[in-house]
Amino acid sequence: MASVKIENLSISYGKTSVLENISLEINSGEFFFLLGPSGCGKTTLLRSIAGLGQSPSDGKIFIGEEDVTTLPAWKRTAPMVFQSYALWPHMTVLKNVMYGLKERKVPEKESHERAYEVLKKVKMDEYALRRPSELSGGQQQRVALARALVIEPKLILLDEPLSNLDASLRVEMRYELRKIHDQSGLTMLYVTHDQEEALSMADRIALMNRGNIEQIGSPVELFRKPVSKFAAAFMGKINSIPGIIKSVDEKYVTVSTTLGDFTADFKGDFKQSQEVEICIRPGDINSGVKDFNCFSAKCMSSFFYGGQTEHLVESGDTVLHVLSEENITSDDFYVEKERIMVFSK
Amino acid sequence: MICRFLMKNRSVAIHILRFFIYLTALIPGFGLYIRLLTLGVFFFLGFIAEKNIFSLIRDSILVFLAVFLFYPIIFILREGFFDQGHFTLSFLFSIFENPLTRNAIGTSFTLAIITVIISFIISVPLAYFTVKSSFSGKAFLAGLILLPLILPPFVGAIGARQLLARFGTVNLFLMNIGIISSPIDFLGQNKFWGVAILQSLHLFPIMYLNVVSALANVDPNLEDAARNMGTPPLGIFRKILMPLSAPGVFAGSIIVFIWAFTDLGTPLVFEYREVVPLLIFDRISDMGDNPEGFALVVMVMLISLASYSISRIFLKKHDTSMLSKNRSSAREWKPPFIAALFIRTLFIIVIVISILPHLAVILTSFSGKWFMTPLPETLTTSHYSTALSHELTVPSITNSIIYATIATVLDLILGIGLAWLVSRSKKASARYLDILAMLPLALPGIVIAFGYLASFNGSFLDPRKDAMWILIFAYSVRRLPYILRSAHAGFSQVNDSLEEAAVNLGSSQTKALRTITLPLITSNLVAGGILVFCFAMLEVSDSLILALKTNSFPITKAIYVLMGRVDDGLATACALGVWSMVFLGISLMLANSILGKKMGELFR
Repeated sequence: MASVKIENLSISYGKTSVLENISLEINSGEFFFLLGPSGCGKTTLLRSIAGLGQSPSDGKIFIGEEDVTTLPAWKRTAPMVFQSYALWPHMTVLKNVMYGLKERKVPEKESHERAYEVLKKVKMDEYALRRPSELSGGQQQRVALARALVIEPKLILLDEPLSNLDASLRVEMRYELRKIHDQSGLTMLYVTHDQEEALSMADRIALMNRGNIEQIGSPVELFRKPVSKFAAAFMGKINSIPGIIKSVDEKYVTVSTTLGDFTADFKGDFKQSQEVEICIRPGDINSGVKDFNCFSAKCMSSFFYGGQTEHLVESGDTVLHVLSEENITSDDFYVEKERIMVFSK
Repeated sequence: MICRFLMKNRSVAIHILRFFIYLTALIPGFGLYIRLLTLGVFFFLGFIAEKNIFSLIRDSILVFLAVFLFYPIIFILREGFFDQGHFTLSFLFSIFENPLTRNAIGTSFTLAIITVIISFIISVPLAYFTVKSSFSGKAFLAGLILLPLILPPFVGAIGARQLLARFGTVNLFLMNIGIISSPIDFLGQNKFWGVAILQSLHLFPIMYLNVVSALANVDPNLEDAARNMGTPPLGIFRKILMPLSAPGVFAGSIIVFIWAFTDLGTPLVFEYREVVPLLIFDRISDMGDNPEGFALVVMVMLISLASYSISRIFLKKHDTSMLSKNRSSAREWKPPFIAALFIRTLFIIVIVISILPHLAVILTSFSGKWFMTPLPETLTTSHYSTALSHELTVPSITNSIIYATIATVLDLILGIGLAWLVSRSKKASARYLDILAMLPLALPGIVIAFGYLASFNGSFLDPRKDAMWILIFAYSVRRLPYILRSAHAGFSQVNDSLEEAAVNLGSSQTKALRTITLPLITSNLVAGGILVFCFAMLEVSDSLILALKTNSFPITKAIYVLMGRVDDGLATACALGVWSMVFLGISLMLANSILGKKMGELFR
């Protein structure tokens, strides 16, 4: 299986630069996610690995050991699942899937067998002779996947493959994609703007923002130890409260806010009296009394989601979101030290 | 310092060099061979500098346009603005000082405006019912509306002359039933109106197509929103449809204006000599000594280009068709029986009136003896066999088919290449090239024909020697925009990612184009090709001006020459006209059924 290495890659369209000096290493067999808001350059990065779109103004791209930076797209083996699926409307499902094999001069009979095999794997063998227009979105998605898988690549690129599916199907396809990855051991590079998709499926995630990589790490690292407020907010809902650094010691940093003092187990370059923000995820605010990180607030309204309930609680002018499993009975709340994030303003 | 910069940026240096080489190739005065050689150097330098398919396509089109579009234009401009090497406006002024030319300009202008107004009045109700209502037979009637486009107006004019003559069908009929006692002089004092009405009857389908596509482009959701706010149907037409379709309608009007302003055929048959195209036609024989012809052509060209630019800018500024993402398909109103009958009648009346001249052509083509009676006394089919065996007509039919076929193939190659370039390469240069290749839409045939005759004088393309290739190039330059538009429409319907997916799986760019995109846009290409072929077959001004030798005559020129012959020349001309009418009618209806409502966008 192939690793992907990107060295100091820059891409610009005219004067607007889309990617700035990106370096990234994706291990062989990894399920790697490029995550970010729209316009952050994640799709441009993915397409540059396939050799599509604007060619890089600077930097290098390696697939495995091979430097593919100047290799034309059609000479690379990095099949892509397009966001729009890009199934050719004038060919049957089977023809679509066999296309890549034909380009690789695989004999007709063998490519026929391989195509059926792959279509069976994605449960689309019954539809082999249909046209793409006769298929539902989910079925088209499977065919697009089969078309990429059939050439037995070492690397597969997926450009927001689930974004055109409806919600329940989208969740179901996550399991299937993960299964395909685990069974094949393929290197898969997946672009999405949906942080839930990334958190649930990825081995590692590169979070991108405005043409730069904000942070690379495992889903848990990104969720728990984000390097910036942007990363923290992008990975999930946060409550942020402004404050001033009261004291810093080797392990803890203490911030004083309108809700009182909070001590956090969070690494960062902080100085006394610096203006900061503390960020707490709604699920990390617990009901009850502790001798640290404690505050009282009044519950204003509750939203029941089935398994969990979200409460809006008010303390002075500050409104916080609290996620809990049952109804809140007391007005007292606390947060564990390792669940508080601190970012300089 | 500049030198160092150029050394560093070799490709910039080559591009600058190439630009100057290209300009050199456009300087009038060099022979055609030197010009082609220079352009060859330009092409070769581009090939070694870039070596990609995009630059190859771009340069081929640039070379083609240089020889057959820019150079003739520059030649005309030089002759119109330079007197023995000195810049002068006196030629241009003199055509406004000379009462003959001044009056002709005024007449042509009024004629074109009147034509636009009449075609507008005819088209709007028809277009509205085509887009907004559904009744049985609509597709058929909408196809028939295009019939007038299928014959060169000057053949229709032959029929009209037959109908409206002092002792022609109309006068004799009116006299026979006792409405008038003496014949009305349609073709004498009132020639102006005769020509205006005939031009309108010929050109209104272009207006109709434009209004249809402009109306179809208005998102029905916008109308629903207005309806929802309490606007009655007429208010919706006035407040929503009219303003939103105005740019498209305006663009159509400009095309009709340019065509009417520069139409040679109709006034020629009516012998209405006081219009600009005829003055130009008359100045062709002495173009060498008399700059007046050039000055008139320059004036026509400037007016056409100016009005075309205005319509482009207007269209671009007010382009609202792409505003809303979730368009719903047009909601069609199903009229009750009586209303549907009324709409159908309206269509039929317009169709009948507009093809009356053509019916007269058919009648003439069958006429044996026809003198002082409303209808011919005897009928015969002999003219049809004459038309297919006459020494003048047989070669002209073969010629026209050969010319039109080669021109169509040439246009398909250039048009597909350029359209692909424009839709797939994101470079601004491709868009400018597209604008340049669309220019011929604004250049009247008479300008191009005049320019060719003057600028290729003495070269191996000189029409005085053999008109075949020059006519082919004239046809293909003038009709390139149609292929370009229809191919471009096709390419923009095919999502980029379809081609990318093929490249991603190992196809080269050209193979992806061949196996994926071209099969998907075949219908657009076929339709565009049919249009080009039709228009090449019935081209008037290029054919009349450039075909100088009998053996290279295309059909239209043969008809024109036959018309002037005594005996049964007129009837034979009409028979030949009918043959081409049948042929072109089939082709055009085919194109319409393939392209549907999009056809109007080809005429902008």
